[in-house]
Amino acid sequence: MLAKVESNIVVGIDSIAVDVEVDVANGLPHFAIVGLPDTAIKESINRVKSAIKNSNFNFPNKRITVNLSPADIKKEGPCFDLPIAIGIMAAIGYISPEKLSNKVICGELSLDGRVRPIKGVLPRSLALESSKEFILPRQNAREAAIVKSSKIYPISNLKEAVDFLNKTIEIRPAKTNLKNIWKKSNIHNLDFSDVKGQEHIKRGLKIAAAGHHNVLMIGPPGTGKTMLAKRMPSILPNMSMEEALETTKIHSVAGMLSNNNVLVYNRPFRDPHHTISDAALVGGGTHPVPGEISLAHNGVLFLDELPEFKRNVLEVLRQPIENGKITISRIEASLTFPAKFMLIAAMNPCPCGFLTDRKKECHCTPPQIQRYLSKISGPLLDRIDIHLEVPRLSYDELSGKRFSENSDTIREYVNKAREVQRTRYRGSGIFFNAHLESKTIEKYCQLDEDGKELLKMAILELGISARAYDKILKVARTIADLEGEEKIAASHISEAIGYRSLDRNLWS
Amino acid sequence: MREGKGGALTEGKKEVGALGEKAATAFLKRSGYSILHKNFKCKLGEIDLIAKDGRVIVFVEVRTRFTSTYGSPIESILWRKRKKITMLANFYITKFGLENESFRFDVVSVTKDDGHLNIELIKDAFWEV
Repeated sequence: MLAKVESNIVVGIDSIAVDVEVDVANGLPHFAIVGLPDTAIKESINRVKSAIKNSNFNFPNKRITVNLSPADIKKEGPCFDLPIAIGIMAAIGYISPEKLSNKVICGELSLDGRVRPIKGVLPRSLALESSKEFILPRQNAREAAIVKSSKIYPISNLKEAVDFLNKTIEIRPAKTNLKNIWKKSNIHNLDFSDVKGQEHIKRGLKIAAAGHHNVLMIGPPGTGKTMLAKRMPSILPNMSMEEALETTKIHSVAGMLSNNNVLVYNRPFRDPHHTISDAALVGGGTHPVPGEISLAHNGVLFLDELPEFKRNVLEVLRQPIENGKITISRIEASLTFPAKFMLIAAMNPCPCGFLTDRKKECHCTPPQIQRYLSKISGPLLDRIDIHLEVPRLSYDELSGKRFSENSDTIREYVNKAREVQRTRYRGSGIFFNAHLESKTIEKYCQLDEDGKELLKMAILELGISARAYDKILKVARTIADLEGEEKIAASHISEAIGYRSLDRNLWS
Repeated sequence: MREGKGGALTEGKKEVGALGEKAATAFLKRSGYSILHKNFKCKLGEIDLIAKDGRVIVFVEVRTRFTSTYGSPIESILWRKRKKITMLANFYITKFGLENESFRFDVVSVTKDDGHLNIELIKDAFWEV
C-alpha cells in the first residue's frame, strides 16, 4: 500500500519539487519520516495523526514510513503535514492513488484538521509546470494565483481536500486580478511637497534617484532627514512587473504576505532600528532567511543614526552594496538572496548633533567628534556617492509657501534620466550611473573643455582625493542625464563637487 | 511485604499482579479476544498477555494497582517500559515468523474501588518507539 504525493519546498527564493512517498505496511505500529526532515517535519507525525482522527477518518495502526525525496536535500517547516496526511489516506484507500497524479499539495495542519497557511507560496507557484494543479491553504491561494499558468485550488480543511480529490465536491480555482492590484502601484501617500524648504536636499535626492546613487544625509536633529528619506520611494522610477514579482518572492519567503496583500507593488522602504544584528540585516539563521537588505530589494534601505549601528553590522553591507546580492553560508545550506537596494543613510554631524547648526552651539570635544565619525569606515563611505548637508530651516523657510515640486513631477524627470542610461549602457551589463567603475567612467563620462578645467582646479585647490574624483564624475554624469546633455559641462561638475563637501569638511 | 506498594498489607506485590492478570484475562475473553499466551517469557522479559482480536495480534500489558497513591496504572507505563514491550514483541514476531501480520499494543488497567475490581481496556495504547 504505497502512495506518492507531489509537493515542494522553498530553498532560498526558489522552489524544488519534493515527492512525499508513504508506505503503510503490516507489522508493529510505527510512524517514521525519513529524507532529512527537521524538527518541525518530525513533529508533523503528531499533527497528522490528530488531524486525521479529528476529521472522522480512521488512522491505521500499522507501520507507516514516509520518505521525502530527493533524500539528500535538508527539508524544513510544517508544509509537508497535508501531503503526508493525504498520502496516508491514499495508502489506506480513502483516495485512489491515480487521483493524486498531476496534483501538487502543500499545507500545514492543525490538530482539528484545518489547513493553516504556509510561507513562500509565490516561489512554489512560479516553479510549477503549467499542467500541474496546485492544492494549498485558502489563505495562500490569492498569492499563488498571481502566476497565471497553473490552476490553484484553495482548501480549508483535510476533509475538503479528500472530498475534492475524490471529486465528490467541486472547488473553484482561485483567481487574482493582477490588473486591479497593479492599479494601486505607484500611488504614494507620502509626497515630497510635504517637506517644507530643503530644496537643495530634494535636488540631491532627485539626482540620487536618477542615477541610483547611495546617499548620506548629515545634519542636526529635527531637520527633516527621516521625513525626506521616507518619501524616497515616491520619486524612484515606476516599478516594473518583473521587479515587483522579484521583490514579492522575497517577501513571500519571509512570510510577510497575506491574502489582502499579495503583491509588493510599490518599492519597499525598510528602516531597521540601529540595534539590528548583522544576521537580521543581511539574512541568516540555520536555514538562511532573507534579511532587511533583501526585503529592501528594488527599493530603499534607510539607516537612520548611521554611527549608532554596530561596526560589524555596517561592514557586512559592503559586499551586497557592490554586488546587489548576498550569499549566506551555513551548515544547512548556502543560499543567495538578491539585495539590489538604494542606501539612504542619515546621521548627526557630532554626538550632540549641533556641529553644523547655525544657531545652537555644539559642545562636543574634537576627540568625541573624531570618535563618532570614525565609526563609519572609509570603505563604506566609498560606496556612498552623494553627501548632503541638511541645515536647520529658518522661520521664513518653515512658514513660507514657496512652490515645491511634487513627487510625480520629480519621478517623471527621474524616469527620463533612467531611460537615457538604459539606452547608453545597453548590453554593457551596467544599468545605472552608480555602477560605473574607473574604467567605464573614462568611456562614458566625457567632459567638455570648461568642465575639464574646473575639475583640474578643484583637484588642485580643494585637495579632492582620487576616490572623490570618480564619484564626482559619476554624479556629474547623472546631473547631465537629468538635463538631457550628452557631454558633462562645467555646471554639472560644480554641482557634483557640492555633493562631496563633507569629504572635505569632516573626513579629510 | 512493603506498605503502600501492594495496598492492603495482606496482599503482596506478586499476588496483586496475578489477581489483576486473571481479572484482565477474563475481561478480554468477554470482549471477544482469544488468548494466545499468558506470561510469555524470554530472557528479555515478559509480556503479560498475547491475544488475538479479530485478525490483529495484540500485545497486552496489564497494570494492577490497588492504591492510587502513585497515580493511575496507565501513567506508570513510561518510555522505558514501552521500549521493553516493543523489543519483546519483535522477539515474539521473529520467533513465530509473523512478519506480515497486523499488531497492536493494548493496556488493561485493573484498579480496586470500594472492594470492586475496576477494569479498563485501552486499545492501541502506544506505538513502537
